[in-house]
Amino acid sequence: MLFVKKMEQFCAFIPIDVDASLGSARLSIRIYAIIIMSLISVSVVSVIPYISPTNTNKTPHQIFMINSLPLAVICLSMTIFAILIFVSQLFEQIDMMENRMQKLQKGDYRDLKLPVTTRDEFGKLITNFNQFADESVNIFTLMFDAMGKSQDVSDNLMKGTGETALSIFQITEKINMIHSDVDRQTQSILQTQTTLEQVVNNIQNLDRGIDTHAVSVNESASSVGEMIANIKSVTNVLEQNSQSIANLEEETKNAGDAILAALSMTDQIATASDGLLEASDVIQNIASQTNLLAMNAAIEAAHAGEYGKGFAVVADEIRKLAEEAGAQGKSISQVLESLKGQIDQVQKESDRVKTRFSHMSAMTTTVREQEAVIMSAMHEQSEGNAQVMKAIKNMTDVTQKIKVGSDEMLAGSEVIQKEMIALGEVSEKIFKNLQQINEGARQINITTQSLSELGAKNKETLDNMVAKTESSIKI
Amino acid sequence: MNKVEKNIEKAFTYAKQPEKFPISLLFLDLFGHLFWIPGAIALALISTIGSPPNYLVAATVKSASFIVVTCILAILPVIKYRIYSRVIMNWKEDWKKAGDVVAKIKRMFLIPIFLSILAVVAFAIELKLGFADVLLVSIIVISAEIIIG
Repeated sequence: MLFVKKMEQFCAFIPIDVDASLGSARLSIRIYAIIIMSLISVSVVSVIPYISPTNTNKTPHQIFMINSLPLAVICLSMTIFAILIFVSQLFEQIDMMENRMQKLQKGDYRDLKLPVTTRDEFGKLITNFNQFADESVNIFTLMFDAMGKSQDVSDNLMKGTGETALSIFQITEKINMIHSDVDRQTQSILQTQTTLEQVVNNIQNLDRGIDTHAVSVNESASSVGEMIANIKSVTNVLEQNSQSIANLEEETKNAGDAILAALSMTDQIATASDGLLEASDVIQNIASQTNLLAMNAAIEAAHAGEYGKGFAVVADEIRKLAEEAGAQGKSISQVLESLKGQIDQVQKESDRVKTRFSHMSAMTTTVREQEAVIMSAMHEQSEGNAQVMKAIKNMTDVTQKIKVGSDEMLAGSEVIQKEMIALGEVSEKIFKNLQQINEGARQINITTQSLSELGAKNKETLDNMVAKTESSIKI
Repeated sequence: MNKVEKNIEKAFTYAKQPEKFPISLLFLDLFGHLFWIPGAIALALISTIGSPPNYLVAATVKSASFIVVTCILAILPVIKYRIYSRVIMNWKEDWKKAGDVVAKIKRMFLIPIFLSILAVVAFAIELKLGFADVLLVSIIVISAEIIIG
């Protein structure tokens, strides 16, 4: 028994499975075992000396006094000792339970748990008691928390009720303000409806204007397209003209060069003509000298007489030839003079032509430059037209978007118009509901007052309950 | 602090697990297993006071079989101690199993008590208790403990 007791004390740190069956470890079985074994031991030990073969020569009285009685006393003493150990162990646990029950009776839930030192019914009982103590402490803790929270809630409720009454008063005032605002809103909605109708009409006009604008833009686009085609045609002609002017300039330059060549040749002819005139003058001088010589020869032939007759004929012939040569020389000089005059005239005309060609070349250059300016202007015009076309295209796109937007605006305006009608109806409903809310607020005010009275009573009850609980229960 | 509160405080110290399994439990178990032998001898001597055959007791105690049986009965608690102390000290791994072990130890302890009484009776009735009977008693004790354990 001492071993079992020590064993159970040592194993006190191992938890007990309260749901498991105890089996032969039950207290009742241990008690029965102790009683039965004690009875058997005392009985047998008392009887043994009588049946022992070594005591056959003794009287029963002697056997009883010498053998049985001392043995029975020893056995009974041991049995009583064992029962005392067992019972003291039981009473220790009963005392511990009683101690804890007294604490419970005083409402003291502090340090209520007991150590489990036996693994029998008492062990289970103490385990359950410890669980009960834990649960009770938890429940009381929760209860105290709940009561504290209830007090706070009650305070807040009281405070909230006052604030609610004030808020309801303010709400009633606000409702009255909303009432007048809703009235004004209804008037505004009616005005807005009228304005919206005008807006819809304006949008429809705008829509038509956008259509017209779109047609105009399309016409402008086609006109600009034609203009671009014309500019292209003009540009082509100008390019051809430019080529012709270049050719003309080339030809003019060639002609000028030819004129210069002719003028050079005329100068050479004039120079040659001067040479011819000098030659003619030389011829005429030679003819005159020859004539003088012929005359001198005739004179000399006349002086020579008969002898000189032949010579006179020759001289006469020479004189005739000299005269003829002089006449021809004169005629040549006249022709050459005339020719020189004509050459000079040609020279002058060539100079004039040269000057005119120079003018013509300058004018051609001017025309070419002006042609280039016109070409540049045409290119710029073409680029400008492209930009105009792009702008017109953008304008067309924008016009289409404006058209779409206008249609959407129109549709939206119609929807808004419908919504404004619905809003007007809703405003009327709000107006009616506000009247009901006003009535409800008055009812809430009455309820709040009664709630405030109930809250005050509830707080008083809670305060009393908390005071009583805290004075009676300690955790 | 009254006596009950002192007991409670003392009992709370048991709830803390010691670092080692107490050796005192082994000695108590050994005492339970072997106490019947001196008890039986004392009973035999008392019940036959004045009688000559006490030499039989001395002969029995000196016999080889008696020594072997006593050794076996002495070794058995040591084996139990080694097996069960491990389970009990590692109770956190399986606390239900540890609880079952404690319950088994309690149950097993009833057997040597009961059988020791029988042996004492047998000793007392007939001092000519044969060695085979002593061996039988011991085997019954060991078998019962093994079956229960």
